[in-house]
Amino acid sequence: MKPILEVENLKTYFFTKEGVVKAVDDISFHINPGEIVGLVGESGSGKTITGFSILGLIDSPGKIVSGNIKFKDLDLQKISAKQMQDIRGNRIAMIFQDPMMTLNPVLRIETQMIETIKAHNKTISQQDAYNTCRDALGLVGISSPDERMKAYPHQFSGGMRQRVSIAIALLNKPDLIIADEPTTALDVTIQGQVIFEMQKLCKESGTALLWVTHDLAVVAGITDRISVMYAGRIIEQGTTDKIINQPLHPYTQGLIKSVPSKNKKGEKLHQIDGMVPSMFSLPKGCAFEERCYLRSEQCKQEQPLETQYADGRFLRCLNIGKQT
Amino acid sequence: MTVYILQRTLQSFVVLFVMSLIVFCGVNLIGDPIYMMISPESEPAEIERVIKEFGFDRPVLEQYWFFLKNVASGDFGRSFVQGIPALPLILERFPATIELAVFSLFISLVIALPLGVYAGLYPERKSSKIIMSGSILGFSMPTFWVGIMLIMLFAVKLDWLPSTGRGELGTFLGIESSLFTLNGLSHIFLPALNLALFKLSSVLRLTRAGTREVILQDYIKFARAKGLSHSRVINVHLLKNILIPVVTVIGLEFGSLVAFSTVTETVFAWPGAGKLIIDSVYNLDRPVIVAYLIIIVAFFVFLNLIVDILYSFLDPRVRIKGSSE
Repeated sequence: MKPILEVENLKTYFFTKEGVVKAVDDISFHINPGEIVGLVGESGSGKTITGFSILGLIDSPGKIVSGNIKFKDLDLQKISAKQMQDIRGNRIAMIFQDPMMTLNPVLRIETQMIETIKAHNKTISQQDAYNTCRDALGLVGISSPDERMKAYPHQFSGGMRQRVSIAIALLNKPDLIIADEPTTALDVTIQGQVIFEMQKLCKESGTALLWVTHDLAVVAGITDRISVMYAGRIIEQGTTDKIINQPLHPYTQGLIKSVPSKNKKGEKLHQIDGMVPSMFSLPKGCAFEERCYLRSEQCKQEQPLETQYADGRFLRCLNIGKQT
Repeated sequence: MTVYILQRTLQSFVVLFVMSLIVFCGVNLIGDPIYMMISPESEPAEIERVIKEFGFDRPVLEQYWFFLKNVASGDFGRSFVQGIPALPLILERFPATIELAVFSLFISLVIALPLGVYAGLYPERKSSKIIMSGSILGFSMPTFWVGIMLIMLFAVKLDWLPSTGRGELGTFLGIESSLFTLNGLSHIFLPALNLALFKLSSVLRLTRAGTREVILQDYIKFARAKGLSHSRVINVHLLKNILIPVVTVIGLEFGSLVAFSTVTETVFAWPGAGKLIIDSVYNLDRPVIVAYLIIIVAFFVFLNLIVDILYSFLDPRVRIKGSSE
């Protein structure tokens, strides 16, 4: 199957006064049509910037330094700003992390929804656009959508607002949705509902999903494949089953052990020693070296390359190869 | 909404009352208008008669009581100088001042909003830096000096625009104003520009600051992620948010435009209320001063109310107590 999105050697740097921040540094991954891929990592590991890079929403002082982003047959780096605008919100949609901030506080929900349709379909009538939007609200589980269309964002709770942004993302039946921690700001009970609904809606419409999150527990349940990011690089990627059940990279192992669960009750929670290195002064070698239990002299000097393993997963580690 | 407006109106009357008391007593402390009205060489008996006639021999509070009673029946007293009732005298001059203020507000908005948004969107560009430095000049140059320079340049050197007076008046929808004739427009342009300069700078800086803040918000990025055009993101999503503080400031500044257009009116010999009040202060024309200040305060109070109501339309999160929603 031909991937719907292929990211190759993407580098997005921020040129600040304090120095260059390599927020995304040489990452490659792909998403197949209808597939759900998890992009996992701690805050500041470059997940969100990856999402914005795909949509061409990197603002100064940030810049995509090199790499290819291929969407279907289009090279997103080469197309015009107008073409990119046509793709945004239409073929690739995005859901943001904080539902309290994503909707414009001074515009009615209907305005914010209808404009999304009209931006990509100039000929549609106001009534048709309205009906589509109202149905979309109903689809994400908002009751009495006709009334709600007239409301302002502040009249909604956080969970409801995130449903609205999900409805907006689904409006033009995109081929790919980038969901940037869509459930992080929500209550656990609402979280479950939103995840379930997104999964269902994507299945029904055959939409592929890039699920960006720091929460392994969430992605474990819904994704087909997982990419784990650390300090701007993907350090391990493979099928969800492999990553969760047999993590190879010490960082992935640490992440999985850190997830609190009930069978570890009474035990001390696992934590990965040390801190994420400052993005302003990344070490010459492996960025995880200082916190790694497998570290060797070589790790300090050499940047591990991405290597494919027999079971199909990709790893960036100098020591795993020796072990197995 | 109605309840809210009634409450506010009631509050306004209290403000007006307190303010008139302060003004009345204050004005009584400075100078003796009697020597402005009659020659100092007059007979003492004559002076005595005039003092009695105007009630200057009574205690201040008693004078104030008479004043209040008269105001209640719409009589603000007669101008000492011109001998005609103070209120019509001022109201007759007001349209000229209002039209000057409205037109200068229009000028400052038309220039300041686009420039402010531009400077906020592209802070690194040289043009933005020039705009911002220019706005500091607009802030800091004294109005009277700028007015004289405008006259020097456009009226004297280039001879493009007239420098004094109101010009021909045109009538439109029953309103008489120099905005409705070409000749009138040419007369109002220089004083309006002069008066606009300060507001222009403050609205520009406010717009820029608002733009810089709003442009970083998630909802702007989300609007872009929806594939909206640049102009829609700026004109709808950004502008509607920065208009909230701008409307507040404009509303309040409009009051001060009217109240303090005195300098510009004096420089350009604009026959408005500002010039009248300056003349009245020189002549210690108490009734005109008091009436003018009361009108201005009433005007401010009214503007504040308008701003509050406008606010609730712009920002749905602001709900006015007693309104039905």
